[in-house]
Amino acid sequence: MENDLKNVRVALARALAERKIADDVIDMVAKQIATAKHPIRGIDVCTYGICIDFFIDGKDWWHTLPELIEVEGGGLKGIEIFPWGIVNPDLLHVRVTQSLDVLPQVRG
Amino acid sequence: MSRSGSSRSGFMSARVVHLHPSRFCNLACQHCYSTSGPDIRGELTPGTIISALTVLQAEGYEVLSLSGGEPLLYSGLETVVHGAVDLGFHVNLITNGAPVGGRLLNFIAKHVNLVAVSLDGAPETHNELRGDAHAFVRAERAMDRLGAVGARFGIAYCVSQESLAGMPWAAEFAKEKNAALLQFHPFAPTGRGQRLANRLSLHETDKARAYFIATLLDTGGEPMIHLDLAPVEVAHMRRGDYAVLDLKDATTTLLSDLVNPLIIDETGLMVPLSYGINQRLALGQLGPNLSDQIAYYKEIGWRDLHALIEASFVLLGKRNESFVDWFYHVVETSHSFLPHATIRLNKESHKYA
Repeated sequence: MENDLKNVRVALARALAERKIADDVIDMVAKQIATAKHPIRGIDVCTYGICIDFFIDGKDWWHTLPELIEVEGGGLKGIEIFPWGIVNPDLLHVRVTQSLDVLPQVRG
Repeated sequence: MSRSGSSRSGFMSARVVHLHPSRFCNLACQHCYSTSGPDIRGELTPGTIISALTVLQAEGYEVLSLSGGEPLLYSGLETVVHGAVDLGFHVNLITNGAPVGGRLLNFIAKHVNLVAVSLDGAPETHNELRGDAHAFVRAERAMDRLGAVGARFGIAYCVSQESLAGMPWAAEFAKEKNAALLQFHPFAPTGRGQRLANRLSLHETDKARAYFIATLLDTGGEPMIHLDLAPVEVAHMRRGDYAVLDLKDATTTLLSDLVNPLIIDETGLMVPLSYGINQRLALGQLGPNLSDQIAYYKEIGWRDLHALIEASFVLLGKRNESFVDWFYHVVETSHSFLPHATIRLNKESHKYA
């Protein structure tokens, strides 16, 4: 499973490098990342497309959530919120999943 | 945390002196940011460098990063590295790989913390930009030799319009060679590279591509992958890394708190942050009165750097860009920015003439 995910990541990297993914898709995700009001801690490949990981202060999560899920033209597919845990109970890990049409081709 | 008590001095985790002891190089790359080459003569003496490092070590600097020119062809290399190590510096260097061999190899393995071998793309692209059909073979041979003696090395990969497609190849190649680090650095149109700006500079969408590619290729473990591009908003959020510059008086502050990295060129000119920055922001010149120049900089000159950093953050918000190569952005800002203290510095330049 871990190797499958690594392979998909590398395949997606190759598709990006070979310009098989259109500029407008890149620009859409880039805009979202560049204008994010919260630190992005990771970008990954998932079932629907890509997912972006944020860490946010648990006290403000209710106010913050609308900003995180504002995905312009990106097809929001899911949100997962995990409490960080006993080490830092006020920190939430929020994963925003959005569709990426090219992914099925990349997976092959 | 550094000896100064400040945890950060800008966006770099260590306090670094980037030294270009000469611009002499076996290659004359088409895009070289320091316009180095085989016909360029003139170099700093090891004595001048070691005297300066003694002062700079006391100012909190902890890493000496050697560049050039080709630093492995610098005549005073061994003296400078020995001197720096004796002072407690970690020494890193960046090389095109050609001179790596013979007794130099064991010297590197023993005294150099990290060797970065520079690549400009997959073999064909690399050779074409380097103007040498054997440049890639020599770089690869250097990696093999460094690996064989247990020297820690990485790959510094220049990402341009032409080499972006090779980023996944570079990750595989770095893994195959057991490189510890793969650093992706966006092409910067400075020095000789200005002539190739249209051909090589990354457009905005390509910067985003490079960012996503690097993120996807970073699957944990070695090689560690680093890209010198950050989302603009992330750069804004890290404004606090420069908080040390929000001082009223810097006379008792360590220079490494104010200026990181410190760049020294082959003439001994000291400038903040990046090669190619507006020289009106220079701290001074290596020489016997270095301590006086640093004291003067802490009194007046650093305010220009503070203003430049402020201006760079303001401009960051105004540029319609998603990703930023921070140090190149600061260089660009510096050339459209008139430092206030320069006028004062010129008026008083007789002090160090």
